[in-house]
Amino acid sequence: MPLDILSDSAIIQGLQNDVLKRQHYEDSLYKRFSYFIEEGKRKYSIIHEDAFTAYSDAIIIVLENIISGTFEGRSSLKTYIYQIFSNKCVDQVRKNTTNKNEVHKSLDLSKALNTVSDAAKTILQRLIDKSDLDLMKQHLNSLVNNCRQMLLFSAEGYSDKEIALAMGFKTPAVAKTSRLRCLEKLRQLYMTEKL
Amino acid sequence: MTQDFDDIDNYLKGLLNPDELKIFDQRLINEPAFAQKVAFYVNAQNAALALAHEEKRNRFRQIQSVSTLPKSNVVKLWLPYVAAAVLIGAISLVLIFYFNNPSPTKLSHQFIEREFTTLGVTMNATEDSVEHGVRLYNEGKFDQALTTYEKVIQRDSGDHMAIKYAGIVSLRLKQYDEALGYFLRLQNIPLLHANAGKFYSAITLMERNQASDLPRAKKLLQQVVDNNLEGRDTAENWLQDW
Repeated sequence: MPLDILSDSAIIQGLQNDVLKRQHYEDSLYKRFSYFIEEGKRKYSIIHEDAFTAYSDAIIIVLENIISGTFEGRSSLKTYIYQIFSNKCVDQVRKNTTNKNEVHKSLDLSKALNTVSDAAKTILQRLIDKSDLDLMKQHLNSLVNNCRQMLLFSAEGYSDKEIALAMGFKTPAVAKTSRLRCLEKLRQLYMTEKL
Repeated sequence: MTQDFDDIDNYLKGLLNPDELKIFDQRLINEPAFAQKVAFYVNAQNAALALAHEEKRNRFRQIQSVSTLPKSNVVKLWLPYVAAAVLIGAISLVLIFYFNNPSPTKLSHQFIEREFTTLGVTMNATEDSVEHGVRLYNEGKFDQALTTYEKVIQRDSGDHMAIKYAGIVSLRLKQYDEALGYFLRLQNIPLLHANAGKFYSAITLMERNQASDLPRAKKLLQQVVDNNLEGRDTAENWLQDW
C-alpha cells in the first residue's frame, strides 16, 4: 500500500480502529512529518542520526498515546509531535554533553503495579533490578516467530481480541492461552540461563 | 504453569475484585516464587516493548532511506492554497462569532491547550527529578510524572517547581481537588519571584465548573490583577468579557 499523506483524523481513526492496517498508519504518520529531522538538525546543531533518533522516538511515543487514547486531540498532530520531537532533540543534546541521563534508565514497575502495597512493591523492585534485560531480549528473539510477535504485540498494548484479529486466531481466548504459553516458554528459557 | 500468568494478566488489566487484589498482594509478599513470576512478567513486557520499538525504528529508517519524503509543507499546486484561503476566511468568520464571548470554561480549555499540552524543558546538561517529571509529562505519562513529583515533594515539601507541576499534572488528570490542594500550597510559598498559584487555582475552578466555582475563580482572577501576580495579563483579558 503506498504511503499516502493522510489527514490527522484518518491516521488517528486508522490507528485506533484498524488493527490489520496499523503498520500502514504508523508508517504514514512517520512519513508525514519526517521533514522535522532536517529542522531538528539545523535548530539544535545535532547530527542526522541524533535527529532521526529524536524523531523516531517522538513518533513512537505519539503512536502509543494515540492508540491508548492519551492523546486528546487538544492540538494538531503536527504541533503535538513537534513539541515532543523538540524535547527529544534537547535530550540528544544533553546526551552528547553528559552521561548522566543514564540515571533514569533503570526499570520501573509498570504503572499498574504501582497499586500494590509498599511491602510488595519493594520486593518486586528488588527482583526487577536484578533482572537481565539483554538476556531477556535474546531469548525473546530465539522464540518461534509467532510467539515472539504475540509477546511484542501484547507489550505494545494490543488486546487479545486485536492479537486474535492480527494473527488469525479463532477467538481472543485462544490468543490469550497461546500468549501465556509463549510467556511460560520464555520463562523456562530465561530461568535455565540464569541458574 | 500459566495459571499464575493468568492471574498476573488479570491483575494488570484491572479484572481482579478487591478480595482477589488482597490475595494477589499477599502472594507477592509471602510467595517468593510468585513474586519472581510477576517480576519476570514485567521484565518480559519491558524487553518485548524495547524490541518492538527497535523494529519500528528499523522500519522508519528504511522508509527514510527509500522513500521520497516530504521536504517541507510546500505544496506544489496553487489551487489548494486558494481553496484553503477561502476555507480559512469562512472558518475565521465563524470563529470570530464563536469566540467573541467564550465561556470561562472555554477560556480555561484554550489556556490548558496552549500552555499545558507540553511543558518546556531546559537545556541544562543534567536532568534532575523535576525535569524527569516534565519529560514523562510531555510523553503523556501523567501518572508516572505525578508519582515523580510526589516523591520530590516528600523529600522537600518546599520545592515550588515540583508542587506547581504536581498541580498541573493533577489538573490534566482531572483530579481537580488534588490540583487545587497543590496550587494552594504554591500560593502559600513566600518570596517567590513569580507565583502562579492563585492564577492556576482559578483555572482549575473554571475547569471543574461546579456550583460556586466560577464566582470563586472570578474572585481569584481579580486578586491576581489587583496584586499584579503571575498570569495578570491573561486574567485581565478574561475579566473584561466575564
